[in-house]
Parts: sequence; C-alpha cells; structure tokens
Amino acid sequence: MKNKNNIICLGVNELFQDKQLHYPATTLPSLCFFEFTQTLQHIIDNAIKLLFEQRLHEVTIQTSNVNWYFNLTDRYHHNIRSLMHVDAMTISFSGSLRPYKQSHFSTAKISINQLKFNQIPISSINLEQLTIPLAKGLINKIQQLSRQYSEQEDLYYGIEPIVNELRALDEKVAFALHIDSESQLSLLNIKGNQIYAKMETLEIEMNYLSEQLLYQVFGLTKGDWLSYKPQNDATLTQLQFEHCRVYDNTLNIIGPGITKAGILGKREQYINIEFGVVE
Amino acid sequence: MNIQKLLSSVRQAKKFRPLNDFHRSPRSGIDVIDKEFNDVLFLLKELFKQFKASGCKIDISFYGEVFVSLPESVHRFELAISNRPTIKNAEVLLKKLESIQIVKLDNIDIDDTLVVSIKTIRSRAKWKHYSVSEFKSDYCEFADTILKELRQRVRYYNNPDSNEWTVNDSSTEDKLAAIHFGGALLGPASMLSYLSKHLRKVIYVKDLSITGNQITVNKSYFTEETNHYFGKKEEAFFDKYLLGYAAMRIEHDNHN
Repeated sequence: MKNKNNIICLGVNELFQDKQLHYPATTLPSLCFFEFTQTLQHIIDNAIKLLFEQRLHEVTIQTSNVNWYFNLTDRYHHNIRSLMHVDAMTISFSGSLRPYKQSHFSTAKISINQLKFNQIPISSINLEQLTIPLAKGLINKIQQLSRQYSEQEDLYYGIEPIVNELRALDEKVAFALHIDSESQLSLLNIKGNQIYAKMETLEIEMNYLSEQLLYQVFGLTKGDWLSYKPQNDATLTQLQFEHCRVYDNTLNIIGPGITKAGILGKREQYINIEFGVVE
Repeated sequence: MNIQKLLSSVRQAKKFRPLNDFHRSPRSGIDVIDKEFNDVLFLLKELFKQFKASGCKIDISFYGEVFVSLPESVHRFELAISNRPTIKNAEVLLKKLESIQIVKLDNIDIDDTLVVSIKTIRSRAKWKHYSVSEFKSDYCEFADTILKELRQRVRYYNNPDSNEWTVNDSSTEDKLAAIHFGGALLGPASMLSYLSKHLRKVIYVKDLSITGNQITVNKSYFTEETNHYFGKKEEAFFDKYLLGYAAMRIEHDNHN
C-alpha cells in the first residue's frame, strides 16, 4: 500500500505577458496536477527563507514536478517548461510550451497553508525571547525609527493648520498680503509632501525590521498560525499572521482569527506586543 | 516490415510530435516523458512481437501514429501510448475549479500514468485505455487483452469501412498545425507567425495548399483565395515538418 498522496489539481488561465504573441487555443492546458511532497515543501521553505534574507517579493524556480493536462488530447503534454512562483504566503505555477520562450499560461495563486494535509501547527509567542541581544538590537532600531516617524508626523500635522489658515486668509482678504501667500502656500505643500514621502519610507523600513524581528527571534513567517496570551489578560488570541506594523512602542500582528473549530475565521484579530515591557 | 524497422520509424517520428500541440485534432501515437521513451519502445517491441505472431499488420505513419489491423478484418486500429491521469471525468474537475481555487485528490497516483490506448479508425469510435502497470511486464497477456478487445469490436461492425484509408494522409488540419507551429518556432517576426495569427480568426478553411514557396488559402465555398509567399527559412521548416512537401515542390519545379 502506498502512502496517502497529496495530489493537487488547479485550473489554468492564459497569461498575457507579450502583446506581440497570440497563442493558439490548442497550446493552453486545461488542468495542472502536482504532488505536494516533503521535497516540494522543502523547496518552498528555502525560497521563503531567501525572500526574507534578500528582501524579495517573489522567487521563481524552474520545476519539473508539475504535470499539465490537456482536455483536447485527454493526456499530459511534456513539451512544457514549468516555473514555480513563491511569495511569502502563496505559490503558483506558470508554463510555456516549447518553442515559446515566455510563460503564457499560469495557475491561480494558492495559499501554501491550504496545501497542507495535516493540521497546521499553532506556534505561541514567548515574550522572554525578546531579551536576547539580537532581539534587543532590532527593537532598538525599530524604536529609533519609530521616534523619527513620530517626529515627522508631528511636523506633518503641524504644517497642516498653517496651510489651512493661510488659505482661508488668502480667500478672505481681497488685496495682496505683504508676504507672497501663493508661493508660501506651494512651498509648504511641497514640504508637506516631502515629509509624507519620508514617513512612508520610514514605515516600510519599520515593517521590514519588525518582520525580521518576528522571523529571526520567533521564527515566524507570514502565513504561520500564532497564539498569544498577554501577561495580565486571560484571553487567548489565535490568528494567521498576515501582516504586521509598528505603532509607537507596540508591534501589531494582524490577520484573520482562528476559530475554535480550527479553521480560519472572517474577523481580523490583533496581537499587540509592547516593547516597553522588555526594557 | 520487420519490428526493428517499425521501431526506428517511431523513433524518427518523435521529432514531429511537437506539431500535435498546435493541432486542432491531434494525431495519436507515442507521447511520453523523454526518460520513459526507451522503456516505451521496449514495451512496443514486445507488443509488436505478439501482434505479429497473431498475423496482425502494423504500420507507422510519417507523424508516428501506430496502426494495427487484424488478419481476418479490414478494420484498422490506432494504438497510442501516453501519460494520462486516471481521472474519470476532467469536465467535473474543470467545472469545480470555476468557483474554487484548488481541488485535492488522493485517489490518483501521479507517478503511475503510462497508458496504452486503442481506438478503431471509424467515426465516433471511443478510446479504450489500459494502464501499463496493471500488467506487470507480462507482455503476452497484455497483447492478448488488446487483441481480444479488437476482435470483440470487429464482431459488432457489420459493414466494412468504405472509407479510403492510407497510412500517410495529409489533412488541412495538419497544414494549419504546421503553420501555427512554424509561427511559434520561427518567432513573431516571421511570415508564418503573421499568417498563423490571421488564420486563427478564420472560422472555416475549406482548402489549404503549401507548394513551392506559396501558401494558398481557400476560405469558403466561394472562390475566395489568398496567396501567401514565403522564403528560404519557411521552406526549410516545411521540408522538415510537413509530410509530402518535398514531393510537392518537385512537382512545382517540373511545372516551371
């Protein structure tokens, strides 16, 4: 008796990457079959590790583990180059029939968690791990950025009332002000936009560092199932890690909650980790 | 023809198989993963031996189709070897996948897909599939099972096939497939790629001829003919992939 195999079947859609080429309908597969094996899981894990280490969005790997089924001929066609696309939470497959060189069909993106046969393990967050030097260093960096962020934020919201006042004054008063209000206004606007852009870069950097913190300290990546129990609270929060952000001294982990039945719920849940606790 | 010769024709025809990917009614034959090809040739050899012993006639076409005919009957059969999943109904899966992203199947084995299929050359005949692993290299039994099926089928056919049949016939679909494949192979700048794009919009092609350096497309019952001229690159391509092209060219040259 063979082990229970985990065969996954996906639909296939045409992919338009090159406007010059229109592909005949006979070159489009109907279904994509592949087996979700330990080896494949390993390849995906490695790809995700690479994503984190190199700050990539997606990793593409050539693979021979997929079979493309054509309804017209009722069989697999082998004359196909297949690629596997891995991002933090999903995978998809694309392919091109030889002699084409560009991928011209693709499957939908499917969540990696959905592929697994077994129950997904729920890892708990242990705050004590935040006291190791690596964590402390990262937290320091995040806090530093967070301080910069709030300074910029103060500045941004400080400019706003002035702009509003100036604009109101400009409209009320018929004759020209002594200062050239027009140019002042546009100067302030430009400054405001610059600050906003800076805030955005800071935010991206903070999110990246907090993802790194969760990955390097707790070993968590997007798509993992987490549980957390705050120190002075009895309620247990369980959720699937979808994204995280930093606000002041708190790291929020956000994602859909896990219900008692052990499936993903619809409501968004939060886990808040305060950095202040560590110091 | 002896068995070794038959097998070498199958091997030679392997290079024409990619045409099938562009064919609207693909030809049968041997379509397996490269690493399985030699095993399949061995299987074919053993089957041919048994067929020959029973007095069957075997033909291999230009495109690598395998035809078998029984000594007592005029009916012919196609034999195909390919990898196919053991799913009963692909339509059901396709329908399901319209609304959901993913279907998990645990009753099929993706590594065990080698299948021998047979079909009568007759309109509306259905394929019958045999999984190779079922016979555990008992080729004698395998061949007997196939022959038994053929004999059973023949018994129900009361009228002999009236259709003229030749091993190597060349249809309009073959030429269309060659044009589409040529377009893909020679690249988007080629004349065939342009013609392939154009022909995909045409609903019905009544007749198509490729001779010399010219493709003539007859699109409907009215005399609506278009001529398309091609160069050396396309000539070399048709020489290699189109059955009967070389012969046609000689005819054309004689005309001039």
